Amino acid sequence: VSAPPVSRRLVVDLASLRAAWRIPKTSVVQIQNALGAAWDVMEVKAPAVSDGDGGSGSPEAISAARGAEIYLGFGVPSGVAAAAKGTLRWAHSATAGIGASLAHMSGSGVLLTNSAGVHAEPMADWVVAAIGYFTRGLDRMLAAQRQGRWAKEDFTDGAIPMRGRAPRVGTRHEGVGRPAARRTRRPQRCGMGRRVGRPTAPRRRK
Amino acid sequence: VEWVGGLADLPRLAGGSDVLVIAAPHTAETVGAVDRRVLERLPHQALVVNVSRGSLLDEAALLELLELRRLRGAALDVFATEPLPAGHPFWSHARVLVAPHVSAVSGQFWERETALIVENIRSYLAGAPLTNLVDLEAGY
Repeated sequence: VSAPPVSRRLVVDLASLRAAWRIPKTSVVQIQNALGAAWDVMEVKAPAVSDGDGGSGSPEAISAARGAEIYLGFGVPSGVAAAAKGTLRWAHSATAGIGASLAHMSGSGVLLTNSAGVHAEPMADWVVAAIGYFTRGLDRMLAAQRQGRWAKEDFTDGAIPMRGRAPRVGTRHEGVGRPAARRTRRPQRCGMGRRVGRPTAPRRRK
Repeated sequence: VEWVGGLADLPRLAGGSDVLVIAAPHTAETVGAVDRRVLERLPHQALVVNVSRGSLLDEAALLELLELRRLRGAALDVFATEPLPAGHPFWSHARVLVAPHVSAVSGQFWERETALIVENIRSYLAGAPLTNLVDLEAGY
């Protein structure tokens, strides 16, 4: 009798208490389908910390990480990194920020990917809305509304300047051509001016 | 793109911008990058938008320049301390828009995120380069 094939393991540790960040079942199925039958997908049911750069790791996540080759989480909790040492090859963070994971991932040889580009478009929408909030005087209109004041003259008589042309936008981001740059494309589509960045070194798989 | 520069060029960037959008990651290099010197170079009635991390921005200098009416306003989704402490001057400032670190929230998040993960699984299995690979030395 031949031994059963040794399965490779991927851990899904994305059960956020926040509805926006909690992985839906359909996504887990897509991940399983992409991996194929030789893989064991272990879904951690314990809540995962999705605020900031993630937490230290739940006992269930740490247990699941032992022997895992791939880990999907909010950052890489220190407990998970320690438990998966020697077997972990790739970790993916569903956050853009991975600062809290760097200390225990540096020098590990584990590939780490993040979700910077995934967040770029909604963040760009927010930036454009925030710029319009001030440049078109919505902040002043809201203040007048709270006072129950019909403030038409504030705007028509020049007391409050209303920008009539698109502002020049300076953006501080890292990596021209990387997903971070998408945050500047939407303001540009709205007619807003420049952008600036800092080239990054080519990303290589180790 | 009019020009591309590094950290040392921030004052130059500020001097020619009506709006300064901070979208860089938190690294040892970027902490405190948007300091008083940069903010003071912004034109009169400029805006500051921060969707990155509060640690990149000198919040005290920003508040002071808002009080002096040098700046038109600030839209802040991130802060040095989160949640923003009760009684912080930003809460009640008429020209500060305070958001609770939610600029990235979107109903389409998992659709995009799953596409990225599946794409990277296929790349990983094929031994191909991964998308969004973090440079652990650079910190982003």
